[in-house]
Amino acid sequence: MKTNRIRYYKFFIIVLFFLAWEAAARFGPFSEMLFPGLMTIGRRFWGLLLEEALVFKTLYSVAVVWLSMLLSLTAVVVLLALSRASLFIKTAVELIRAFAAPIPGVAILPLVILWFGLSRTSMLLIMIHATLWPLWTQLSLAVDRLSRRFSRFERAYRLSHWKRFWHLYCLGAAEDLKSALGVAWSRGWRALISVEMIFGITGSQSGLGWLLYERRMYMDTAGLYAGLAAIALCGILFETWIFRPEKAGEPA
Amino acid sequence: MKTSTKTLIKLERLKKSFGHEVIFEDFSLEVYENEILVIMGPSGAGKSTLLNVIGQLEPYDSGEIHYHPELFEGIKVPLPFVFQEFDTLLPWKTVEGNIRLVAKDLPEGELQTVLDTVALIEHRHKKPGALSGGMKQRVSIARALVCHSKILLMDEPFGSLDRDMRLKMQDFLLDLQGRTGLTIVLVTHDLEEAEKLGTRIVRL
Repeated sequence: MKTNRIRYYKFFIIVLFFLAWEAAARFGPFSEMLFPGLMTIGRRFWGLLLEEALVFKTLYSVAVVWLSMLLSLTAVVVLLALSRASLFIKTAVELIRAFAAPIPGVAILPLVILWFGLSRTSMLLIMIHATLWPLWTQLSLAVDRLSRRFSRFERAYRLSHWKRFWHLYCLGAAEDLKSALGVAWSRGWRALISVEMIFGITGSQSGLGWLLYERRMYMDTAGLYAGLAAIALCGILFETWIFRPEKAGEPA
Repeated sequence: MKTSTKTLIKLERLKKSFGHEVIFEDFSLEVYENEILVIMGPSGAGKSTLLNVIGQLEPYDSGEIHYHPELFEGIKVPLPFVFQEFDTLLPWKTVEGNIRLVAKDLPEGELQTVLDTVALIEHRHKKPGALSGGMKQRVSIARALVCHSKILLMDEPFGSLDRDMRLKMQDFLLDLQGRTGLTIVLVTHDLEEAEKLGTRIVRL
């Protein structure tokens, strides 16, 4: 009942927002070049979709974030395995995390460009930096928790490495993994758009951030808003649906 | 079940300490076949540590532990534990999945027999979250039984249960031991439980 009411409120708020937007565009003091109406933005959105630019660039950006998450996840699994084997390695990774995690991806971009130039490698490194630490933080906490819980059991029953890895840690950390991927996605998505948009490093074939940068250069404000809408829609799709954490009472 | 005089485990002048704190020293003990040996004492007396040492989960400083070779013959898990906490069951696996985790190639017939023994035959497809405390502890016992060990190490197995359930589980354990002849080393701080279950009681 409450959920239905919230849905109704959301719909109502969106309609109000669109009406206010349209009123401001039609009767406000702003030029259409700065503040286009909803129909203009919609037509531009549709136009970009037909040109395949929007679809292609969205898919490209999503693919880059997924690739970086996959690489980061692989690195985290290896680091977790090494950390279990050696306290020295665990301490070293934790120390590096403490220094590196607070630094936004964009902040290290100038340094990465100095080392690797304006290349896809640079972008991938920034993306790995953005996605690695949230994955490490959440998954290392999950592994610590599971290790404390099952330590005596796994030793008493002499479970094989495979059983420990898969049945205890992978399945036990599944919910943490989903949540960690959600945070990594969120960080990676923001970092990617910023990197593509601010620095435009990866050429004309790439990403939504580049699309925004391009539209701004051509003073295509409606296209700019269409790009922003695509970014927001992707964010909603992934953060609200795909990586949505389980609510209390839902089956795990 | 009549207690045998065959010694399965013999502890000789055992010493265990954590740093400068000596937990027990010059401690000797024998565990006989078919008995329920209860180790009791107040909290912090080192009961669980002693059980961990017997179960080879923790090293000891000095002394010796002798295990009867029969305990290890063809058995992958010679010293299975039943822990106090129910959360050593994997909540993402069913009762059957939890049991099969420690005995992958368990024949269906044997699984059914074990489930029947612990009265969980109709709950085999349920996950631990859907079971009561007593049922969860019976799953833990079933998990230990499928290891085919001659001995069972139980660390305050009924400590988390309410009084009624605890009494039922004590009766269940006595019945199980009577039927199977298992040797049980059980840690508790409850005198009433110790007197009811123990063939012998050792105080720490």
